[in-house]
Amino acid sequence: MGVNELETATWTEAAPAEAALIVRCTRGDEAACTELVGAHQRMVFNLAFHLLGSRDEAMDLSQEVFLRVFRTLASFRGESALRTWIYRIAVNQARNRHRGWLRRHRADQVSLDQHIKDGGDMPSDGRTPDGVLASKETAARLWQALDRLPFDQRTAVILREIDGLRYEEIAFSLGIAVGTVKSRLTRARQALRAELLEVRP
Amino acid sequence: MTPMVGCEVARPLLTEFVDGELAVPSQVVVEAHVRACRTCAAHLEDLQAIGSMLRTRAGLMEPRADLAAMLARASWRAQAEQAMEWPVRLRRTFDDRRVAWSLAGATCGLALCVLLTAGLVAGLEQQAADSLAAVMKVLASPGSDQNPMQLDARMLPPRLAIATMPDDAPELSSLPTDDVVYAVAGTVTRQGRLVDYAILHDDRPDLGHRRGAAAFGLTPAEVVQAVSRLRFAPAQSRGESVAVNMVWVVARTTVRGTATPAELAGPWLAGFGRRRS
Repeated sequence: MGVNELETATWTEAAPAEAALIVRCTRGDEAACTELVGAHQRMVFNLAFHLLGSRDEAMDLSQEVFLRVFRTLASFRGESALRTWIYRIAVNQARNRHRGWLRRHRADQVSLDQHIKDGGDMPSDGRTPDGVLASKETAARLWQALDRLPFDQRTAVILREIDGLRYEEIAFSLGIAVGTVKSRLTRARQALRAELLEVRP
Repeated sequence: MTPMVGCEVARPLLTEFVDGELAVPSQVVVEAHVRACRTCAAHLEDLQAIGSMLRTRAGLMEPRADLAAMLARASWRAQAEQAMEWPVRLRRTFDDRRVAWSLAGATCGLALCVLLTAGLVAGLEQQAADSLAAVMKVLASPGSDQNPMQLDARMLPPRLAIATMPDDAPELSSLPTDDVVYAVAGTVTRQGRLVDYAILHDDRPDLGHRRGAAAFGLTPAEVVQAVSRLRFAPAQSRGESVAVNMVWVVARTTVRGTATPAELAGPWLAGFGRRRS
């Protein structure tokens, strides 16, 4: 039996309110710029933090992203939602920064204890302390496995699982085809599942 | 009734299924398979658990960032960059008319300086022919029209190109029958022209009352001028055309016999032989 592909979603125009906001920003309206940043800053910062793993790096990257947004906003033609367009800029900036980061920290190792400490406490969900600890350790190992994935696979997983983007939006953000998004997600999840099976008590 | 598919069809679709990216018919088919297949159901649970754990952990890891400060810094940098853009700076500069007038005056002064400098350079270039550099340059290229060579035995001397003789060249045969010798000094250029010529020797008979232009048909000046209009095949040195200084002797001589007419027989009694060179 054949399986129907999902119809390619199109978003030829940004929403009218969004379009008006963009026009005001390109005219130098400071309040509009503030509104634009305020609406997207948490999204950009979190994505940067999850991709780079450093608060300071994420802060710097977020600034770079919004500077880039203001510089190129006049060229935005509404071929996608503004949010997706900003994601694309953020991913590209993060990729550039990640290459430099790899060169600087290739030999660095992050200890599991430190990683668990960074992650804080997992919700107990009424489980025993041992169960909570095991779950916490599993999540930490899973996150470590995510960190070890190639940048493009990791980005696809983060955009899908954490930011909740659809395949078409991920494809636009990464500048790749939807089929490539599927294959990257499949490979990434295979690796994560292998880690999960290994850790699972 | 929902068609059933095997694991080989359903398993690759689990990623899209868990993401809700399958079309409704495919979603229904995979869902039916998962209900019937424990292996694929476990696989699906793993995928859902992975997503759930990543989201939970990401939520816990989100640091408290001073996003307001970040916004302020980004805005400040954007405004600073905009202020540094050259069209803005230029526009701001010309807001003050005094600066504009100063710039216009400076521009005019600069243009005047450029013109004066160009004039000076042009004047210097005109006098450059007498300069030491120009003399050295001429001396460094023997055989040029400005530095002609002296003819020697290794050179092929210039030859009169008879075929190029102009139609209005004077007939040397129109010279009187009296002996005459002209020595003309001049330079034959690389193009075969005779320049800087002068008469060195003018050996004409003293004919008393016949002296003068009328007596010879052509004056010496006319002869020299006619010669100067002739074209030569330029001298050759090592296979290249070179300019040379030369002296050209134009002579008419008459060879007269020593026998008396009575001693001679034949119809040519009154004639005498001639040879031109």
